[in-house]
Amino acid sequence: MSDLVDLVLLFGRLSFVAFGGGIGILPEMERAVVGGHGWVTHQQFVDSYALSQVTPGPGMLMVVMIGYRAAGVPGALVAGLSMFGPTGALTWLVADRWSRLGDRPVMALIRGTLSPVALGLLSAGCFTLFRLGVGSVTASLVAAGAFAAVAGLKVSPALVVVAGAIVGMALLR
Amino acid sequence: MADDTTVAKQPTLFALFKAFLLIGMTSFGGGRSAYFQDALVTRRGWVTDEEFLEAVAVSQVLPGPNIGNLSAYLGQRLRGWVGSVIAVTCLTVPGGLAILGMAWLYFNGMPASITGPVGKGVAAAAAGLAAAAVVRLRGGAGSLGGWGIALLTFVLFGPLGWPILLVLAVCLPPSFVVAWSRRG
Repeated sequence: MSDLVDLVLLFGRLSFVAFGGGIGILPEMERAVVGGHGWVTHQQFVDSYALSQVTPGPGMLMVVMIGYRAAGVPGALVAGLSMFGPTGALTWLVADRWSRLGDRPVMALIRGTLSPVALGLLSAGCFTLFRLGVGSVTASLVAAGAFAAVAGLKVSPALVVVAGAIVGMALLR
Repeated sequence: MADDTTVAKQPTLFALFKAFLLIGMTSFGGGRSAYFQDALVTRRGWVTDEEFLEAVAVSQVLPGPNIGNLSAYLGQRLRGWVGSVIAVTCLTVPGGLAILGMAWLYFNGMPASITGPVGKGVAAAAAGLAAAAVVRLRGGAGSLGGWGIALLTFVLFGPLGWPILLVLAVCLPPSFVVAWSRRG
């Protein structure tokens, strides 16, 4: 029982300091779940991150695996809820208040302010993906093929990423 | 006008459920906002480029996992709080079940390294998908000044690796000036 409470407190707290995505909180998460609570070893922590990259949905679902190790299926559920629930509710609240402002001129101004910055943030995310994930000629060809398929041929991203996984199994050993 | 275009494009709850469930089941690799862009902007036209970029910015400004927030935000925009709950649930449950299955296999002896080659292929494809999403959303820059802001944001957050809050503190004020000057 106390493990469940600890999971709620830890992942709930971490979610509220995760600005700009989950990557930034990984060092602190590792200190807490490996050193502090001893739920997983360092290698298991690294592996849970790796496994979250080959399952669909948010990478932060890795906490489900840590929660499972700490307290079984209830732990997995509690870990996921704590990571996504409270900040999701906060985002809903902001979106709700925001949409009540309607289409006043000031909203167009705010949107015009946010758009270029968001485009830069997405480009930076793209940069990180290339830096971490595209390190060989084969990987470059996969990335270029994925880009062409989605941008040019309007192929569904789901099909493209499955094709990437198959190429990976065949060639990226 | 009250009956603006966003209302006209409002999907049914079931359509919202299907769209987010598909994203939840298929969004592999990093840069997952690319899947949202493709599904909600390009394919269904529920959200405009500018609305999408606004959603991305707000999701990053607020704390929490980015695409969890992005789902909550877009869900609210499309169908209120019920939309938020459906969006976040559909985004997280399929992957949550998948990783639970992975966890069970892993703690019963499956080495994580067997997923290595798959992960590499997925990571490379995801990089290409993210690039395609950026290209599609390029109109969000709006003007030469906007391109300058986008470039500055990119350099600070990408290659230089500044923390998000610092990046926003530096980039939002000049972006506001650019947006202000364009309204004429």
